[in-house]
Amino acid sequence: MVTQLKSWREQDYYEILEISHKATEEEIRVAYDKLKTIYSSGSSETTILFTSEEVKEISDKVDEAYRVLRDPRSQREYDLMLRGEGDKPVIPPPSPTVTHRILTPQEIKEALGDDETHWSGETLCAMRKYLSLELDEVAVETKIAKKNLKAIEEEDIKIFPAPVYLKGFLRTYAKALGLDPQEVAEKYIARITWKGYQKD
Amino acid sequence: MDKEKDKKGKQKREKHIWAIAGGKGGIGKSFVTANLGIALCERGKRVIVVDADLGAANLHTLLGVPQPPLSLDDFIRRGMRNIKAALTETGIPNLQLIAGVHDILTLSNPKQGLKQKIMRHISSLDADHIIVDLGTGMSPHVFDFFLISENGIFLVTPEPTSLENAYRFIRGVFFRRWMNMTTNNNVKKIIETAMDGNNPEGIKTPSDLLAQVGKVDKETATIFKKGMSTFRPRLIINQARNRKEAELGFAVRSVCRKYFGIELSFLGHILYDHNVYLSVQRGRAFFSDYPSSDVAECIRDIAVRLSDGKGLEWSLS
Ligand SMILES: Nc1ncnc2c1ncn2[C@@H]1O[C@H](COP(=O)(O)OP(=O)(O)OP(=O)(O)O)[C@@H](O)[C@H]1O
Ligand SMILES: [Mg+2]
Repeated sequence: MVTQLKSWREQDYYEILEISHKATEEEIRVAYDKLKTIYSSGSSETTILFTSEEVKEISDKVDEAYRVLRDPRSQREYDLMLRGEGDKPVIPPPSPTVTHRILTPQEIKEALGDDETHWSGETLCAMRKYLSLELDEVAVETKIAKKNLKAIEEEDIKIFPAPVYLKGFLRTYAKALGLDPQEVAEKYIARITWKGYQKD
Repeated sequence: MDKEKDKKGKQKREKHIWAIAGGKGGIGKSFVTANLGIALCERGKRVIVVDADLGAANLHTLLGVPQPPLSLDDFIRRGMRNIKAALTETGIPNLQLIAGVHDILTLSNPKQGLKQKIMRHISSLDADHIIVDLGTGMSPHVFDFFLISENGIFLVTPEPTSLENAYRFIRGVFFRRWMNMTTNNNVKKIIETAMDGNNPEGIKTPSDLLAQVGKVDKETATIFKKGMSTFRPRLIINQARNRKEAELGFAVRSVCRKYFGIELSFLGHILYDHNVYLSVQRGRAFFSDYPSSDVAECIRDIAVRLSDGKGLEWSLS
């Protein structure tokens, strides 16, 4: 899967994701998922040989590779470049699916029915699905670990990040979904505080 | 003449020689050698297991057989002409054993010529799979046996010390491989320096070393680079207590790819099971006592991958 003797700094996106050039969409996604888990655990299997900064750099590089290769268009461009036929380096595309605008109340209503003001794990999840976003994609875009996003959607209080982070995560996630960050964070936290979440 | 050649060609089955190593002691090398041997037999293969642990040989006990009268020792020191004479039946159909040398510390670092002779004789044995238990350590002789077999398997358990040893082992064996490929003394000296993980030159990875070698001898550097494709060590995780620990194999493989630029094949994991300990204590082969255990299933899966020559992709099954 890798060109022998090339270190990660010189490896191309396929080598970074440890997949073949013929990898299917599903294979790309699985490899990405596994690699993100490996390089975000911070445990000894990676830190014996890499410094924690290097682990972070690798993790970012994995994101970058995934963004280019999961999108057939940028992948094609990238392949041309690898073959020396492209004329410019490929810029990792921003996720085309993450919303870069605020959704209208109309759209929110369409997604959630009449439930729109109850910001909860369930409604956030519904919004995400309405926008056809995968958790992986949101994780790449927001740089929030998938497990934290999942905890938010499942309102899994036990594995929630510390309160200081949670608020930030909620705001970022809301923004990625085109929602009002302030409103979502406040309503969500009010809801789970009621469910037993300790603020500090 | 031609006819005979044809006949031979037909009869000739593919032969695989696997060397089992691991930097750390007591992680299950002998256990895996013995039981992987049995698992391959179950698949209809003819298997020979060889105890090449020149320090503490005990493979026979893991197969549940008494100390055989003849061993590798008779070949090494007592003038046995052919290693074949040391073959011992194990009571398991199609599985034969060459027992090891006991407590001969002077032998634990044999001369290069002797090593080659031992390996040559082992390679000439008639079987589908020959599995060689190399014993513990990171000495040059262990590296050499690992390399001569061309198909080295190293074992890792899910503990930081074992992982650390594994990475050191891979590095060591790799550098040793290059050492054996060159006669240029200047190059040898550089490799010698690099063997020390904390060398002042800061040579850590094969590509670092290659760069240094390239400075004194371009041609050798090219030869080193070219000989890479045949080097593909295999990895087994032993004593995994859960799925997460089993998946460590993917992490080790990834780190080796990214750090060393070395392609590694992950063959799978073997679960931890207290019954392994019990069967060893009783002096029985694990497979005979627990043929339908999860551990036995794990080892069977590995046997299949060995036979097929295919490692895992990104999922455990
Ligand atoms: N999968 C396993 N589950 C539980 N225990 C295990 C497992 N594998 C090995 N062990 C334990 O580890 C012990 C050591 O195993 P083994 O003798 O095969 O190790 P080794 O690596 O060959 O050791 P040495 O370095 O001394 O040659 C066994 O007696 C057994 O108790
Ligand atoms: Mg042993």
